[in-house]
Amino acid sequence: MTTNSVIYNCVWVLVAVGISGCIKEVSFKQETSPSAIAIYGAITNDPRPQELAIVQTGGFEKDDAQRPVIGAVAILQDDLGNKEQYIEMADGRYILSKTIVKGVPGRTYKIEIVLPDGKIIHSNPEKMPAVLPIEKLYGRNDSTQTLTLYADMTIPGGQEAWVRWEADRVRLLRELPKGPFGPPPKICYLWTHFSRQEANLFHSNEINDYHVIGQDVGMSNINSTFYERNCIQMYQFSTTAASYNFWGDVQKAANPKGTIFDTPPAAVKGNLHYVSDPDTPVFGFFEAMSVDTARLFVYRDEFEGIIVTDPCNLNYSSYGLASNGYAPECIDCLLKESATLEKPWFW
Amino acid sequence: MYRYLLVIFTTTICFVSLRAQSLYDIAITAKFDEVQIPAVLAELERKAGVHIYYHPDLIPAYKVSFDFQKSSLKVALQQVLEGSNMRFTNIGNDKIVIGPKDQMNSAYLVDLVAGWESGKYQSPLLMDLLEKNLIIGETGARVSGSKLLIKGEIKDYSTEEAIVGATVFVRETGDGTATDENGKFNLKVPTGTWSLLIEYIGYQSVLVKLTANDDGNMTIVLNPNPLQLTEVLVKGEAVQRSTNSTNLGLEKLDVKVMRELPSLLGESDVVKSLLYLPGVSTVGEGSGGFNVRGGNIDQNLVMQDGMPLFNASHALGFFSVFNADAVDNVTLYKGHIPAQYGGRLSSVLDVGLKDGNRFGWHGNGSVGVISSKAVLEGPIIKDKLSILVGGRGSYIGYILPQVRNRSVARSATRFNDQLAKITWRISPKATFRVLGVNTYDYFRYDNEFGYDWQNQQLGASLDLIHNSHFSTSVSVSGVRYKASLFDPEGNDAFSLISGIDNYKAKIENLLLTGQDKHSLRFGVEANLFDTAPEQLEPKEGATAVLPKKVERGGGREFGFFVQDEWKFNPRISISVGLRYSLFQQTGPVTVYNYEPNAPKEDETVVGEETFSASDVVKSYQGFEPRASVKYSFDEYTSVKGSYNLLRQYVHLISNTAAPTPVDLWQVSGPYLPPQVADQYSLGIYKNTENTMWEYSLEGYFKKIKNQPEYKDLPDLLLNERLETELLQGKGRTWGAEVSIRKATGKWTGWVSYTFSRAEVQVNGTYPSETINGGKWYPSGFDKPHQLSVVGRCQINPRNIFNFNFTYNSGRPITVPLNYYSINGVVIPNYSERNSFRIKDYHRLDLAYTIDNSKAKVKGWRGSLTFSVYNIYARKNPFSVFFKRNNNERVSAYELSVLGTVMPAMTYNFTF
Repeated sequence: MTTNSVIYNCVWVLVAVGISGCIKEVSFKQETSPSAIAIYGAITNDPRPQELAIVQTGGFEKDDAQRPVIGAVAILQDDLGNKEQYIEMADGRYILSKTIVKGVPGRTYKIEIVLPDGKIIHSNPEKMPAVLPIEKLYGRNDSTQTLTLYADMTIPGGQEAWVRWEADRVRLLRELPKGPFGPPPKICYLWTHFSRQEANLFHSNEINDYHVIGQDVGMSNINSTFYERNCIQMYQFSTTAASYNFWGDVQKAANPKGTIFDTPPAAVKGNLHYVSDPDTPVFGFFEAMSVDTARLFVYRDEFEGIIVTDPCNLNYSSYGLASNGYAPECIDCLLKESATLEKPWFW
Repeated sequence: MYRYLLVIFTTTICFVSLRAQSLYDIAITAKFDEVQIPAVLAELERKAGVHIYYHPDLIPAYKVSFDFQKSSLKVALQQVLEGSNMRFTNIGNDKIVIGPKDQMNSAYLVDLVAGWESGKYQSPLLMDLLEKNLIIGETGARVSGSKLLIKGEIKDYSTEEAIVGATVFVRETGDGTATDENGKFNLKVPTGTWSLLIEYIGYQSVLVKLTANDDGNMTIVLNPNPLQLTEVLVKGEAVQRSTNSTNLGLEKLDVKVMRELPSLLGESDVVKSLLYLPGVSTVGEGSGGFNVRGGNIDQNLVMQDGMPLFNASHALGFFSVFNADAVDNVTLYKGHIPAQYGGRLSSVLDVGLKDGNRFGWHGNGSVGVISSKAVLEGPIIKDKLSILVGGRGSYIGYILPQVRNRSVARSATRFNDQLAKITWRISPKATFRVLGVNTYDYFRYDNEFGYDWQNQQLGASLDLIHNSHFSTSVSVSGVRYKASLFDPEGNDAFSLISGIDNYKAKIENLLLTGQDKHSLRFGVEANLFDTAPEQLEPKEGATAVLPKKVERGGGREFGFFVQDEWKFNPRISISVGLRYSLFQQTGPVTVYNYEPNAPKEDETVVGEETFSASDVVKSYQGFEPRASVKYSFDEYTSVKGSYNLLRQYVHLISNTAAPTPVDLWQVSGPYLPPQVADQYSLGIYKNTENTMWEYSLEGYFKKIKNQPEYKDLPDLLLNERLETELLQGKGRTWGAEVSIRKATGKWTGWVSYTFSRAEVQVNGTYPSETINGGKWYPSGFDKPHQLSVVGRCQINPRNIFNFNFTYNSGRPITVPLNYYSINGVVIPNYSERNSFRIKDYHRLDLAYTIDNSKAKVKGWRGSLTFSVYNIYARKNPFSVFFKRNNNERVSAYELSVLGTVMPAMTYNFTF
């Protein structure tokens, strides 16, 4: 737990001492500010295509969700003068195929976006840092049924390093047998993200090599989704100071507890701005970062003292039972969001 | 013979019966309002022409109010004694005897009448005067006729608390004075023998036969008079507040009243009680410190017996560290701050602790819901050397394991404090005091995180009287504040330690000149600040934590002051002072240099310079004029005006809504210039002739330079370039405070209303150094409307009812206007800083005290207080925040720190 998150959690201090603190949901209709543009994208040394998201901010009422920006033109440029345009997909998502502009550590990148109304947005240049390898990835569970992931790494002396972690998880889901005359049961692979609401960040500027051992890089609740084999894919991003500060600010702004010890909130400033109107805010960030990936396969029998139940057990009810008594995805695993029959290459 | 006796007996009985019948029928017309029963009986004696006998120790000790309109004497006596176990009977010859109903036999009656007639018993009304003899100085020490300065102090016998407003009257000369807010007085008499009559309501008067041979000190203790205990001390205080003092914005908190106020979980608290005074507020329940006239909490100089405190909070701010049983007096300067005080912009809170009782051993304390405290005091050498020791401990930590929630059950919390004070009266002209205080807090939530913090204070002072015109007070002290935030377990277990040390020496002289029209205080004060480096230390086995240490440097502050209280004429008094302060920041510290014409950011650093502990990094200095003028229209009405310039060189770097224990105390340096405030105040004060009512109206305006503000979402912990997150702004506060107090009678209390505004402007050269576009915006402590109603009803000597109602505007907050989601993270987009407010705050508390301590003066005495905090269980919101709920929508939530009714019971004892 970081020092900042410790302070944020102090609401539980009050609850803990039993002094009847209470939090209640309230209706909060008020005059909202005009909708603004929010953008997130990145260029990494990973050769696979990468996504850029452009949205308009949304309000807090049910019918006022954020809206995708359709019809924008986004171009990435590196310090060698190479340019490549993103290809528009659905829902305000744009894909960079990296056929022209490659992600190379040491190079500097910036993005230009032309919105449908003609306004132009630029990002500040970001220089991609060197790759920082994960030396070891491992997990431990505690009695509160939480799996905590740890990483070891070495930060070279004299190198100021800003590090952030994200994780994906792939789990296997087997359908129930369809009977002796039915088709063979399918095996699905379900991709999900570890929660990114609270960023895991690390910074070092040691003179000598610094060996980081047991850095807390993510956690997940242990439940029936761990009944079958899981693979956790950990991305260790070596980022810039600006990106590090941005995600630190996001953590503060996005996870308020409302306690007396909260830092007063504020809008998070990124590295994007309108060319012709710098005072109008553009939210979000475009970052250049190098990535190293490590994978950890997890089996249910590795959890000490925890019994993981079968999600397709008839008695297991938390998934919402189908008419025949089983969870729908136990009958057809493709009903589950993000499920695919394609076996990951590392499986 | 038998027949003869029978005739006589029958005749006597008939006569007595007839006479009694006529005696009882005597019509009485009299009105009594809050009068002691002996006084009622004395008046009935006078009106009816009878003698009433009773045992003085058995007569009920409470006040009564009656309006007899041609009532018979019998009915009057029945009403007077109603509810007691006393009965009355006529024994002939206009004699009425009152006694316990089960003892009214002939032997009792005969003994009682004989006791009165022999002088064994007498009316308690005649028992008021206690005579004492006192000699000051050796015979011939001064030339006959020399005028001497007698410095005196008047205290309560049982509690040793100072008595404010007691009168001292020299019978031979007709001169007199009254004790000040610290229970002290100065009296000038020629050498010789004098009769000093010392009086105060509710106490037995004392006649001191004083043989004055030389200048010196005297301390008089007054015995509470059980027959008059229902008067409250507010009366004397009211006289001081409105008519005698030249000081604007001076608030005295009556310690007795404070103990009876309804309080959270029954814990009497100095700081929380201040919040009922006009112009004093807090950001919310459970937050430490207090805000005076819209100022930040670090703009208050909080002192305990003259020693500064850097964190006066227990339990993260729910209570203060002051042990109410050891507190003698509480003074808050919020308007005119005399020149002998310096270093803060908004107020000075001076909490004085009692000296140990020099005459006998006494103790007092309380047992409450979450903590208990006790104080023991007494003489080591009678009348020479005394000691006071006190302590408090909480036991809420023992309750936590019983809580169902496993994380709460594994948590731990405790706080405690200890103090010891030795007072050595070396001679009538010299008193030496030593005080040591330790306070400690610990809180841990499960195995996730925790805080602990500690105050340690050690100080000594010497008060010397040189002659009738000149006295000196010398004090030295050392204060250490240390705090840590920790993560107790795991690979990332750490301790983050910070703190500040202060070493202080002060010499203050008092010179009375110009035929006592001038009270001149002058002296020098030196403060050494040593801000402990911020240190991040991994716990054993915590391999994921990088040790880090950030030096914050230290500082030296010197102050030279002179302050004159000048009684220009009977109508005009002037308090004028000048303070010169010099501050030097010292190392060890690294100072970074930044690109010229660029904002101070990590990216614009161009170099650094390292300073050692002996190096002076940066100096600031300046004069601080202070002046206050009082014009009295008459004895009961005055108008006052004041101007103060104040400088502050030590700042609390805190960017949370309420302070945390690990907030940084940072001295001024190259990038953190001192805060400077100009404050103007004007007030009008009116007392009614009987001092029952006091009215006041004060207005003020204050402007502040270099008020620290913060960039958006700053990183303050372990930041070696703190200036990259800090901004300097302008501040302005203004407002008006109206107060109506009722000081005497069955009901006492006050109503105060405050209108105040506090605004900040940060308009830097660069966009990143500008807040809200450079416009003025409300500070986090801006609460325009505050109302306090505090009432106390003395139902009878044993039963007291208190209530307080408080209302204030909601504090300013920054709220999300809309949101966006990027890379799987929902991020709110917030409004301009402090551009919204939470809902208004209001609360009603009640307390009922059954006080058996007033039935007697000595021995074990106890009182029981039942209190209910927030009786209508209002969920006063502290903040509004937003988070993603289970449906992936973003919802608004309100946090109420204390959202329910909180009953409590406290037993207070004295012996």
